[in-house]
Amino acid sequence: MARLRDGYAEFTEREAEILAIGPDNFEKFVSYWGENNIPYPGLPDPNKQVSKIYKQEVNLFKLGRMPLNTVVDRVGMIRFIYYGYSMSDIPDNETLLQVIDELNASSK
Amino acid sequence: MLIHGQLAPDFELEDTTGKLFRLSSYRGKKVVLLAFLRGFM
Repeated sequence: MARLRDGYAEFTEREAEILAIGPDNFEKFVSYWGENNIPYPGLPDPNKQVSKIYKQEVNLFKLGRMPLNTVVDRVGMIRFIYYGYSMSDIPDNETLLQVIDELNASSK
Repeated sequence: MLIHGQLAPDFELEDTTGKLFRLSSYRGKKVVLLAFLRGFM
């Protein structure tokens, strides 16, 4: 979260948007987004409806979900998808930006 | 699991201000990174 926040300008420069989807409720999103100055939209999914469609995994101890990151191109296709195998297993920004660069280059 | 090259399932969710976000509304416009969070601890 902090990593994406700190690198957000690099995403917007590439005309990419970040949508963060989480299992927490509205109130928790409001306080987390405010406390951490997150610049991109945070979408509470307390019923896990979208999380289920995307097959986000529940962690073994049921304390939360396993991270999942996916890059969707302008046609709506998944061009990168990474299911984390631990709570902190999240692709670095460079990996994500490289995917976006390749998509931008191929769409010109 | 969903895989590379598959159509990303469309969805609608509201942000905390009530603004509606629909994935398909970005089609033809922007690349989107969907970051599914683990939940705030």
